[in-house]
Amino acid sequence: MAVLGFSDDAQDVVSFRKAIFRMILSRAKSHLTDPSDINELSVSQAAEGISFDLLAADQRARLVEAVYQGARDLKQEVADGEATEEPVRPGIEEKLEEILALLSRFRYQDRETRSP
Amino acid sequence: MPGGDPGALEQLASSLEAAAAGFGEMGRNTRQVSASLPLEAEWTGDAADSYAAFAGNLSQGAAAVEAPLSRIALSVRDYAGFLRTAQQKVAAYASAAAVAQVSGDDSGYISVAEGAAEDAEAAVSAWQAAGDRVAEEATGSAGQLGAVFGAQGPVQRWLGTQIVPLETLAGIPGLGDPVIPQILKTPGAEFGPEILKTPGAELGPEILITLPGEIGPEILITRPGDLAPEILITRPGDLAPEILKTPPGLLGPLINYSEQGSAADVDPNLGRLSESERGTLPRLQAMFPDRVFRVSPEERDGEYFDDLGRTYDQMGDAETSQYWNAQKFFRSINNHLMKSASFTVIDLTGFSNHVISDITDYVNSLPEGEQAKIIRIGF
Repeated sequence: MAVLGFSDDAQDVVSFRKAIFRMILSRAKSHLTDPSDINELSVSQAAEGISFDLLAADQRARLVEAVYQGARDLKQEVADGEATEEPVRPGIEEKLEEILALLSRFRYQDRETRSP
Repeated sequence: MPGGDPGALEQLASSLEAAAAGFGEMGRNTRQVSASLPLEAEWTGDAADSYAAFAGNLSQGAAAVEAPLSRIALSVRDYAGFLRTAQQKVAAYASAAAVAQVSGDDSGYISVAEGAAEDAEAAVSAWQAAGDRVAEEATGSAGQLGAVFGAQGPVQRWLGTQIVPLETLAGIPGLGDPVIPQILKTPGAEFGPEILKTPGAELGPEILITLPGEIGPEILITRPGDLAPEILITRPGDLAPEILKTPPGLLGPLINYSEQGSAADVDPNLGRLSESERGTLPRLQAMFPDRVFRVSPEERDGEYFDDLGRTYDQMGDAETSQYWNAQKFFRSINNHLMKSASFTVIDLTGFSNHVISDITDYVNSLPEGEQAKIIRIGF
């Protein structure tokens, strides 16, 4: 399994299969341009999860947004019945919804934090 | 599967030991009472003489039972131990063979299965030898026991009053067929199996196991002989394919598939694992040969689940070590433990020594409750 976490609180953590993680990351990378951000996702893949609370605020905001977009892209492909590079299992829609819900919560928090 | 119930056999051995001790005690008591009674009661005459003769024979016969009965009890206990080991090893082999099968003949799985087969073969040989010793002991002791141990003798009468599970005698060479060779066990728990055992012949029992739970498979195992068991495993429903296996011997199974005939079709979920996750599975199986591991069919259930429905989350991929970051990996371990499956399997096979050392130190620093959820491989 892989995990996305924003704190030590279980409510701020979501776990899912690593194949889903890899597919989300590959899509998230297409939404990034900074090589250090892309490298950070590779580090996260090796760590089998992203601990967003360990990142600097600006990079965290970029990666939350990119991972959110990557998860949304994957959800759309699954909904459209497109073949993904790795097979998915029953329950994929619910799991992606859970991931997006967590990311959305912190995506908005980051936006508020960054607002002047 | 070698037939018989080791627990029931051990109970029988205990009963025989108690009986042996009882006979010894009876012999000693009878002799003591017989010697003192005429004097203390001043009992004389024909009746007293008849009683003295009867008591003398009784004490002599009863005392003679103790030693051979004790030896039989010891042999039965010894046999029970070998039977238990043989059953465990054969079950481990069947489990490893099934995993190797669904893996598509992955060399790691095959290697584990071959090792299990050798263990099973050795254990079965030891069990059979123990059975021969029991038969020999029973035969040798029978001569000593004579009429005392005969059909109308006190031992049989005493045994007739004992409650002994029917499967006690199943599969013991030399002790004959069970009086009623059919046994039905239905534990009745919601997720527990129903087991029908029909050990009817000298060569071995037939066993039907049906797991009716939502996740569990139906398994029919029919072993008509010691050397050439037939195994039919049928996993119906959406969660797993049907598998028909007919292994003619421990070392050379012949396997047929009831569906597509391709290993990839047998467990489509296996192909959904990454290379590192697939690599961990045979190592996990080798570590827990008594559990049956399957690839989780649902997104929410981790990488694997076992025959008790417990889920297993896998961590560790040496291929990604170029991006190794200790702090992030440690945090990831915490998050895994917080959110995921019944167990987190951390497989460090292929990791460098310093990474293994770092992770070992970190895992050792975790609270005991969290460490208990971690299965360590390659540490």
